[in-house]
Amino acid sequence: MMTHARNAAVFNQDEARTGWHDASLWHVRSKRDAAAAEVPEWEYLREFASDIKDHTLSKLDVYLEAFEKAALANGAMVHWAADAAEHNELVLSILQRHGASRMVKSKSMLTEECQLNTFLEKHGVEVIDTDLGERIIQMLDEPPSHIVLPAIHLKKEEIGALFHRELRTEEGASDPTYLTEAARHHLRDKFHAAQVALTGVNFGVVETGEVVVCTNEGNADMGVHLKPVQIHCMGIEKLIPRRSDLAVFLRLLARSATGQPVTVFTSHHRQPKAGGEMHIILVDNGRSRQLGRPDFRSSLKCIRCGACMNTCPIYRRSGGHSYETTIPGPIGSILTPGVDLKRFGNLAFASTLCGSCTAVCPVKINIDDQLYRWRQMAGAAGLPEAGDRLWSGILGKGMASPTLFRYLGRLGRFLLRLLPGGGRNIPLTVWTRDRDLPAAPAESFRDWYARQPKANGE
Amino acid sequence: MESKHRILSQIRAGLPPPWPLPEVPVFRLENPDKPGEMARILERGATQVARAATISDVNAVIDCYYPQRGKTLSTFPDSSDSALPSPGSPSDCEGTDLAVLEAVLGVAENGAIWISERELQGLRILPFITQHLVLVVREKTIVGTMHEAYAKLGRPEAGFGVFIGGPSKTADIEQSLVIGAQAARSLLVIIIP
Amino acid sequence: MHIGLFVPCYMDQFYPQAAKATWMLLNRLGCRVTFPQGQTCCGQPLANAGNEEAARASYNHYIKTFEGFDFIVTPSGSCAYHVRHHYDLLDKTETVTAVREKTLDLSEFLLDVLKISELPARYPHRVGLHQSCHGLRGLHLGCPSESLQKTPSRLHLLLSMVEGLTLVDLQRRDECCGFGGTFAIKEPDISVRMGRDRIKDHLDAGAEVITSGDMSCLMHLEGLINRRGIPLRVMHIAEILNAGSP
Repeated sequence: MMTHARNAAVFNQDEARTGWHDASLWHVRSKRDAAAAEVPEWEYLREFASDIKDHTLSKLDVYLEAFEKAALANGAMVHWAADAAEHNELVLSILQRHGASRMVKSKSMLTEECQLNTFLEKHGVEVIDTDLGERIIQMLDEPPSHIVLPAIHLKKEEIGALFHRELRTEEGASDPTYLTEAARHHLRDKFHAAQVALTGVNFGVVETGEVVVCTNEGNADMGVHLKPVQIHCMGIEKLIPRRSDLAVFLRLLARSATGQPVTVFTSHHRQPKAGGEMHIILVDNGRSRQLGRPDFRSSLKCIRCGACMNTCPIYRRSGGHSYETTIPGPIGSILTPGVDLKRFGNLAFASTLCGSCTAVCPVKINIDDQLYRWRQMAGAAGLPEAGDRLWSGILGKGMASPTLFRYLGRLGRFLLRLLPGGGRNIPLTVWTRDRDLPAAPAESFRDWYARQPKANGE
Repeated sequence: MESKHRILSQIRAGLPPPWPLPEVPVFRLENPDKPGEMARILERGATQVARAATISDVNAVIDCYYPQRGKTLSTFPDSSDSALPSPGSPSDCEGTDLAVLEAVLGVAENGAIWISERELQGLRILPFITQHLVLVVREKTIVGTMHEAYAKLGRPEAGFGVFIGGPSKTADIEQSLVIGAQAARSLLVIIIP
Repeated sequence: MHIGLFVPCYMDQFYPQAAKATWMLLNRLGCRVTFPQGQTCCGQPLANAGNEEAARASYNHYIKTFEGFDFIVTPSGSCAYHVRHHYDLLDKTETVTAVREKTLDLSEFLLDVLKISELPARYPHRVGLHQSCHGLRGLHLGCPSESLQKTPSRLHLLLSMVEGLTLVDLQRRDECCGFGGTFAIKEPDISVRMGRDRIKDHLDAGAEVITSGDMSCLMHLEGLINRRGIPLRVMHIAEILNAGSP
């Protein structure tokens, strides 16, 4: 059984909890629908966003160099990391240069991908994730289950119990306001105690050399403005050409993600603060390789809104952890097989290809098409999920032969009619574990048709 | 340097075919009442909105909403509250109960209000570290959409700027909305002519 | 106008009445329809399983079987979608392009080609419409709930022509049923859960019958309905459009 399916089976054992998880995320999808409906030009914005990203990717080399030039002119320092290891080393070297051993970090899926926290902790650095959801899972030593709502899989009682252990909140207290207040005080202390702050980047603007960071909590800003040294980690695909392009993306991002008209804070960092340092780390880590894949390169347009996860009926009923990837859900299932097809190719099959993800994607990534194409890659590589190549070949020939086709159909119905109850609920197969097979009629359509008087010279 | 060249040459090896950069029109808001629309969106997002006829009325409005306020920092020259300290020690701002700041512009479609390092007099931390925040917006600076906002802002001159669209919030615990996460617990927007 | 009727394999074998209804409906509307006996499969099952190369023989056979018809009509949104969108493996010869473009789902043919505005159909029941994904989002047969573009729904329009039929209001009007071909076997837990959730939606809305343009979805839902003895039936839309008429 493929990895995702195995994990999903475990997830679905708790029917009530699965229903709760599904309803929670469907609610976020509904909020997205309501927010999008308030923007008359919504579908035009999606088209523009898609075109701007496609254009940027077609000139990514030129734009990266132009971005670097603008950022350097602003007084920022720009570093290039070919892979996760280099990214982590770069962050560590900045910390070490400043004798820093305490760092606060605001949400960055990129740093999650690079496993930055684990690396830094091994080198004696205390890293505190400052988004509430990220802090919760950090304390639980779990990965995020959703890229925007990392703790969506947890119940408030579980968080209450965690905070009682870690923050000495009242035992049994689970009121979100109370727990958030406790986290506020805890994190305030951490912001003041930190020596360096690190953030992710939502958008890097080529024209101005700015990095834009969107949060609802204000935690990224609480970190970077308190200490002299700030670090921003950015995937190379996050560039957009003009400052005015931000309008398109910012109008789409929060509405797609949570149904808000805009994130509470949209910070534009252009220059280091007086007496401070601003570092931008540009990270490749497989993105340039994905760019070279014509069928899959447009997955790099992603702005990490999470709408595809909220709408995916499979994600809602299996949870982010079932995917065992940094980025789960539909977008994760087209990004990650490119990293390791053998290990992650099964994710392309964790889908019914319903197309809902493609329909909500603010940058119009053809996610369902790419899932289909990854299935062909999995098949060509002989992965077990794709079904045995030998049998597929035989079946392929058989299904193209009218005679064989007709007789196989007849045989199938005949056998089913022999079995007690028409074979409908004998637990022989995966299907019949929970579903009846259809009744086997005496005559197929083609047999009936053959008996009909023909008109019109057939 | 070596990584930079490696990355760039790998990109060039797989570069997609050319794709034109679209000209994006400056979309405008259908609703002609921009301050009204901005107030409606802000109030929906747990921001309080008030109007003041003059700058001096601003203080009266603040007294009304925050009668028990503690240490207050303000960018208004004739206010009775403290002027902003120098940006040298941002952590000294801890303990600020209320910050009263004049904004540059507001956006009606989403309630986003722009303030930059210049208006903050270098104190980037201030709108975040304060327990409560007041942003004063001049009515004629309220534009309809983000497209108009960026057109109006033009080339950035300050080293930092931020759109603020409400009090800090989170729904990370079971999707329950909590107002007052890491930054300001409340936001009051005062619209003046 | 000579129509070629393409019937998906499982419909031919297990739901011949829905194929018969399609045949009768087209004839009743004055079409000259032939069911080429040599037809097999559109190749979707193999291709969706990641073996499109193995499906090539089926693709070629489909083209050969149906070349020469003015239109190929199939009571299956997913088969029509597969032929129109996933046959790129074949060289785009004139014949291949023509056959692909002329392969239509039944509802597309009725409304876009025949342009019918009424039907002598009568079906006085409470019906839940399951909008199959390939038809809805793939062929744009209707207006997906994700989209802000308002496109008319062909299936709604057709059902509105049926006398006495009441369409029920669902909580989630276009969530996937969970069949997904091999997905039903590869991820059975989620597949079953999705199907059960759809059934509950229809049941809560007071439906007596669930209808769809795709028998595969209905086969999956029916399997779940029958296992638990739920008071619902499934019917292909062709059967409803052909119902109660003289």
